Amino acid sequence: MEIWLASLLNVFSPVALMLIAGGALAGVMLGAIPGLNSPMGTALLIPFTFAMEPANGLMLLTAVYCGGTFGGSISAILFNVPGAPEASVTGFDGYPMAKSGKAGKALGIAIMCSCLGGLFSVIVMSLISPQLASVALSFSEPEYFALALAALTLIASLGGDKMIKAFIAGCIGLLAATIGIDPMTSAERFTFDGDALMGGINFIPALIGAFAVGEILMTAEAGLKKTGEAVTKVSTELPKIIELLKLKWTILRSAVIGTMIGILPGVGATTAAFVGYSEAVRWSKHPRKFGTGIAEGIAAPETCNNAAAGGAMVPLLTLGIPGSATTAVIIGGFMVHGMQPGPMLFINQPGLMYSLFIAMFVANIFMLFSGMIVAKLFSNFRKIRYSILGPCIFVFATVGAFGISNSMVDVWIMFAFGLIGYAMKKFDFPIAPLIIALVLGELAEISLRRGMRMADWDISDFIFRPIGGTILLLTLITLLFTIYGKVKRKSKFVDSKTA
Amino acid sequence: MLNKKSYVYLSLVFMVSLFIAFSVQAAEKPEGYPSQPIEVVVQYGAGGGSDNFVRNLMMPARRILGTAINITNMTGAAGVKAANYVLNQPADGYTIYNFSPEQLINTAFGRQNYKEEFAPLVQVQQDMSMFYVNPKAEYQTVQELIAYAKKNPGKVQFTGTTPASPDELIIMRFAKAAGIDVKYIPFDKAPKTHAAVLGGHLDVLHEEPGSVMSLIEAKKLIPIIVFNDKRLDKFPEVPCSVELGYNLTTGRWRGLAVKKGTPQPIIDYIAASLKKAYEKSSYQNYAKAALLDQRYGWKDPAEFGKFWDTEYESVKVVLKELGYIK
Repeated sequence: MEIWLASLLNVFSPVALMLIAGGALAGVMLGAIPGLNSPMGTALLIPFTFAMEPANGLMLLTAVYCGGTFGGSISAILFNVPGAPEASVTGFDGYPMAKSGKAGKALGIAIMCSCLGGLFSVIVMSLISPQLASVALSFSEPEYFALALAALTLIASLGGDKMIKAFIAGCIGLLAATIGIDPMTSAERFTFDGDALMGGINFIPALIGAFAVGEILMTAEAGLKKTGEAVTKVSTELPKIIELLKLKWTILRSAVIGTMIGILPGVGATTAAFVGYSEAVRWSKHPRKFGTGIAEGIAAPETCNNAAAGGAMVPLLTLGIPGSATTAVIIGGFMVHGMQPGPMLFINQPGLMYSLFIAMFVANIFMLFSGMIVAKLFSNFRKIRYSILGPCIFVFATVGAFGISNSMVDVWIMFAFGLIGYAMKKFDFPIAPLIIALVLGELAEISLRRGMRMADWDISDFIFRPIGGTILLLTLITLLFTIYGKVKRKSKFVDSKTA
Repeated sequence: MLNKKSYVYLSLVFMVSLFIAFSVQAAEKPEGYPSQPIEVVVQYGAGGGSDNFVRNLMMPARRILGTAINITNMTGAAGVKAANYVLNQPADGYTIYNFSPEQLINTAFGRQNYKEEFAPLVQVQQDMSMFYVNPKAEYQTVQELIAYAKKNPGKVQFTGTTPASPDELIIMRFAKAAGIDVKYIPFDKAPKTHAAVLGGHLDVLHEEPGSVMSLIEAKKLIPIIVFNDKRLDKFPEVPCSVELGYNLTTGRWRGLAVKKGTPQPIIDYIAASLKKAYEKSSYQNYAKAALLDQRYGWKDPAEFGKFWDTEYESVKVVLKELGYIK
């Protein structure tokens, strides 16, 4: 208790509070601008933290991290160009909602849910970090495979009536995920003896291309007779209590899923957002509305990714194993002060750990305010006519694709996927399944192959496991239900026609 | 008392030695270099061992070289992406590449050609390989591990980062020397290998001690062998490879290179400046904390270049043995 109080004093010193507030604001800004992101921001800040008190420096870094995880959603909602990978899914429903004139509401839900998800994971983390870490370690390849597969099967529900088309889009995504150097054997796959594709298809340029560039091309083709949507004022409105209550199960479920996936080493907030979205679809009463701009479609991934951001701190602080790209950078922040995160730090410097927990809690609240400010700033873009905004988005998209790894190859990938996205829209194929398959395909493939090699190709090892087996069973059941439901609906449709 | 003549002689000797010292110490500053920021390209993600190495060395180097030094992480394709970027820049010493053992392996695979692409700058670190087991494992020493592996051929699972990597090479060379048959399960990122052994899913971890120090101190990972010619002061109870009769002391080295064709005076000047950065306390403190001071790692451009060639030959031999190349 004493340690908690001392840490509380630590965090509520003027300097620390200022750093946290500044960090959260900087994080949101970095996240919101395509091409900049929080791993980059934290890496840039580490030299500055050298001159600070260790605790203050680390609080600053974690605040940037919390803010950056949300910030990407602003540009995802407003322009369909996620400013950070974590926000990839937010655009699925966020952009359609913004397009229908409710950008302020979409932003409000995103901010509120990010905050709630973040707070949830921080509370869980500060109560049962060590226990959570041991749960994370019990996950092995079969569990990762089951998780990826569970999310992949939801492709079937995402296409609405176009199940076959969704399936085809998913297959294209899976195929694209196999490009590059094979992570198990180091063989080159589909690289056509060139260097460009050796690194595989980075999903962010692919996503930006398929969604944003595809959309610009479609709009350009339709002609710019429309003078843009009549958006004159975008004021970010936080959801009312009653609206939040309607979303309570989505938020709670996503917060739990996000925290759990966040603590898994090396999976991170992006995958969490995809899984959270998939689960929201699975448990929803109206799965067919996802992708059209509904509140659940924003609440689920936003709660998940910020919960995962907190979750990722668990393996970092208890085992020294980073759960995501940014936490890997934060290790560097510990090292400039001669500390290494891990079990010993928890024993030797518990005060620092508790200060960090409290700082993350405070950062999530500051994020709510800085999110509002930055969102307001960015939403001014929506007032611009599409004939001007469209080319601007094009520029954001190019910079965003380039900024991921400073490579022109990513820009070409973005353009290629822009054409693919355009063609898919034209022929009425859903794009979300393509992206989901591209993101989760690698995890599914590699965890299956690695797991089979570890088990000497004995499949029973994959099935008869408490966690992995349960997830697989649930997946199978929902898959059968989905297909059964579709077939039944179709036969009803045929019946009513013949009658 | 000294007479006037001996004063003259003495001062002459003094001046000559001063002159020699200067001409050796400070490679002459090339005209007009540096006149723009220098970019260092790291082919691994921010926060990893190589990234930390570059950042910690460049922090003092900025002041010494008197220019901004920007670090760019360009991950993917075992460093080929980053290498291609560097090769597309002019050979003027403003783009520096984090040259790692992977580049030699890529050359053996035909993906890169280090001899024609890069000129050596400096090697800075010579890290050490160690093996670790879970404290709950049936074997807690390397002898017990070997005995167990002989009884259960093909059962013991080693893990390290990426296939055909320096990690796999050292594991397989050890297995051959010890006469055991083991499995190698690679992960794409080092933290996942730590988690797999901590969780008891895989048996033996290969890693440099710096990145798992906290786990070793908390006794969550038990080090069983260090690939070195002597035991480490930090872990006096852990046997070294040479005392056990395995002549394996290779470990990951970290160094820098520039595009081939960069003028030699510029190379020498950067190398001399980096040497000063290397000696600064801020770098040395980091090196000490990450146990990178156990083996002297500094190599000058010429030495580093020779080292590439000998390393390349031995890498080729092992890759052939493993069946990766013909």
